[in-house]
Amino acid sequence: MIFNSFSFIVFFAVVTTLYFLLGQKFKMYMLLIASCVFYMFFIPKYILILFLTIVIDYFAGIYIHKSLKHKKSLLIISIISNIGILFFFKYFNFFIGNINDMAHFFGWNYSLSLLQFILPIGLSFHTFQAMSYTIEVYRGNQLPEKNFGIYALYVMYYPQLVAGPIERPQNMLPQFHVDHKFNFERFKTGLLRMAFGFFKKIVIADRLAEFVNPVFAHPENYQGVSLLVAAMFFSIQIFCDFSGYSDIALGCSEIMGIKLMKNFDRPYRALSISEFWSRWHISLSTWFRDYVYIPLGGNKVSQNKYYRNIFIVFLLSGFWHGANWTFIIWGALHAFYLLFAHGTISFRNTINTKLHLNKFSLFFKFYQRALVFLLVTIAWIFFRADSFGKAIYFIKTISVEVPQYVYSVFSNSNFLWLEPLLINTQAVSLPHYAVLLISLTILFVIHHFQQKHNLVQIIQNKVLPVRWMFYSGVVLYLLLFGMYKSNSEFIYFQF
Amino acid sequence: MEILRKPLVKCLLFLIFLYALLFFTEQIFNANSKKQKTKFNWMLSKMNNNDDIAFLGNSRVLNNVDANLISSLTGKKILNLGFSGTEYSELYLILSLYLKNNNLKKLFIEVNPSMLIEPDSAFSFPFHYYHYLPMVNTNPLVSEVIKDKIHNDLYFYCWKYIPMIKYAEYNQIAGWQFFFNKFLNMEPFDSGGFEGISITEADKFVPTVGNKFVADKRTISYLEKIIEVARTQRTELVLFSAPLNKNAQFTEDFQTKYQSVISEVCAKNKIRYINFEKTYFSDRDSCFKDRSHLNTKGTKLFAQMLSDTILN
Repeated sequence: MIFNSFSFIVFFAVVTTLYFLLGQKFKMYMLLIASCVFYMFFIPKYILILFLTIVIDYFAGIYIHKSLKHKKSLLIISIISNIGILFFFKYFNFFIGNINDMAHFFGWNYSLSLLQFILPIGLSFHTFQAMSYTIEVYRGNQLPEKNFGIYALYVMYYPQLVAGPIERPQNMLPQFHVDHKFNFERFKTGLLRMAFGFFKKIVIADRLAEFVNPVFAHPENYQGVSLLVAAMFFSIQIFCDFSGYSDIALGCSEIMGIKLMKNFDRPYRALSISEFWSRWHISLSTWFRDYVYIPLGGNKVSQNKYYRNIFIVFLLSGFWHGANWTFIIWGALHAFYLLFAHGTISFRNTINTKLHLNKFSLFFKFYQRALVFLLVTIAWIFFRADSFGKAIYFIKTISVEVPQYVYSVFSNSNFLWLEPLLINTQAVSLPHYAVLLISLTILFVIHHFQQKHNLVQIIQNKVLPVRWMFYSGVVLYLLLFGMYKSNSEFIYFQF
Repeated sequence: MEILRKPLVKCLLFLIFLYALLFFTEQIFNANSKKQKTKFNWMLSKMNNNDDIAFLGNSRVLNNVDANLISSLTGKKILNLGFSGTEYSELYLILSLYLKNNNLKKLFIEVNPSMLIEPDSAFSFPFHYYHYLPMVNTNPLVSEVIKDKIHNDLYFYCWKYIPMIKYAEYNQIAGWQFFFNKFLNMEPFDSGGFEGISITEADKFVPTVGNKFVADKRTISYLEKIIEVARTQRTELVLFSAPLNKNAQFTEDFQTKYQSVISEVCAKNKIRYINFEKTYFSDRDSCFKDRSHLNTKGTKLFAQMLSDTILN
């Protein structure tokens, strides 16, 4: 079941109503059953895989806590079984494919056959969430959950089951033991957050997909400028798609009184790549920080080891996203950006001082944000492209044709230069551009406003007619400008 | 429950307010939808017409039957009731809506392999719901056919009774764009309903072979409903198939099954069938836009063939 579907609206209304009508004892089991139904909308039999990992980690948690001698072995068994399942479904074909390619390269006419199945939806998300439980129990930060149903709900909780946020047991498990009564303020805030998520997903991300998808499918049909615009559009699309999902998840969970962790914090306002990573997919970044980076020594090691740690974390992050070299390169590029920034910091500071640049000026901040956005966009090209070759074609065409284009803008007196900026005008009508521009402006204004003000609070402090007009306006905007017919899945579902 | 009472009352009042707002907005959309210069609205605007012959079908009628040319060749009043990508359930609605306000002496219904199989596998967009949005709540026949098409009763009732839901679903085709159309300079539809469609396929003349023909019972039942509607209006009926290019090929098994379905329908309803599929210019790519649509030259040749048939 996807959030942007009719089935989900019905599902959400029924589950939320039942949740507040049932007593504490039953509501969590009802939520568990609802989560199973939610998952089984995709491929029902895959719930058995989830069940298997839940059983393993549930018992692993209990025995890790009890055992004094075999703690580590039990943790390793739990991690191997989780990673094993993830490897089998997500990475097996990738490795076999690479072995076959190598064999072909060396002239051996022998190839191993690939497995034919569809990747279970959200596998990487719930595997990482399950692993954080056993690791935290092992570290003694979390007592094992004795109630099997509650533990199963921790892994399967439907709002974050298929695309996160990847939660920690310390945050989630205690909340499942509390009887959350209905709270009208929370209800309104949750619905507004969901509406904001839907706005990002169905109005902006799905509309941008109409521009982006044809260009990434056939980049050879487009000019360099169009490729650059499409890549920038994809940067916005993936943000709106994924953060839209997170907002819907956070919103519907908030209504039930269960607080999920924040997953995004206006990442394109970051002034540096390291700041970008503290704002983008926060639950995954902190997962890697806590369970990979810090255990490796973090930054409290020699420079070479620090560089190694950064590379390991980002390569793993890329590999977590998908079994493809393009994702690994995406991760490696981000590692390179970070290390380059780290290595040149004193040089850049000297230059800034010599040029008398004010680091706090609006212009300098704008320059930093634009640079971060551009670097992130270049990395997204690898993330989005079907193959390494296509990504290289993208970058090559952009770097060759964009300077020529800029020259032509200044040398021509007509407005023909506007055409490639509009990408595929035959497939997407001009009114779509108007809606897109208005929606992006709204998003920008909301993000800007959120820096200093609590928008929800401001709306809730207004008089009733204003509030109602605002709520109705939001509903009407979503109905008029949402892209419903495409029924598109969220990008991060594939991970 | 006490804790829920006040919020419930508030929510209910807000929902009533929202419903009123959406209802009002839907009325504006209904009015605008009817003003759109589409062929569908052009067909609906016809009142008390007495046509001699109408051709009913999908793009193979819309693009292949030049009504004005046939009219000039035969001296009869000809109408093209072809709509791109339509299946028989939609054609049943189209014909019913047309015959409600007009009279027709003779109806030619086009049959082709994609019209008789399961519509979702034959067309990328088999039913143009967005044409009927203003009529869902006011026309029982439209409501009945759409309910039958949607399959999900709960969804259909939401669609029907919650204002703007239906417009939201089709808002990329039939929503807020309505208000922009006047700026886009859309021309009113004319030429007896005939319109050349544009073909963008790269493989338009690559041979394709239809292997498996499985007739769809629901689709055939709608073909029979069309026949029934026409019969109640005392309209004479003919089934026909428009020319196909030589590259549209079918296995023998396919042809046998396909032709036997047509023969069955014709025998049961005592209707004549004229097959133009394999015609003398089928092997000339110069007469076609693709495997199943004629170009200007082909349309002229086909108009002559149809005129001869009508006059004889």
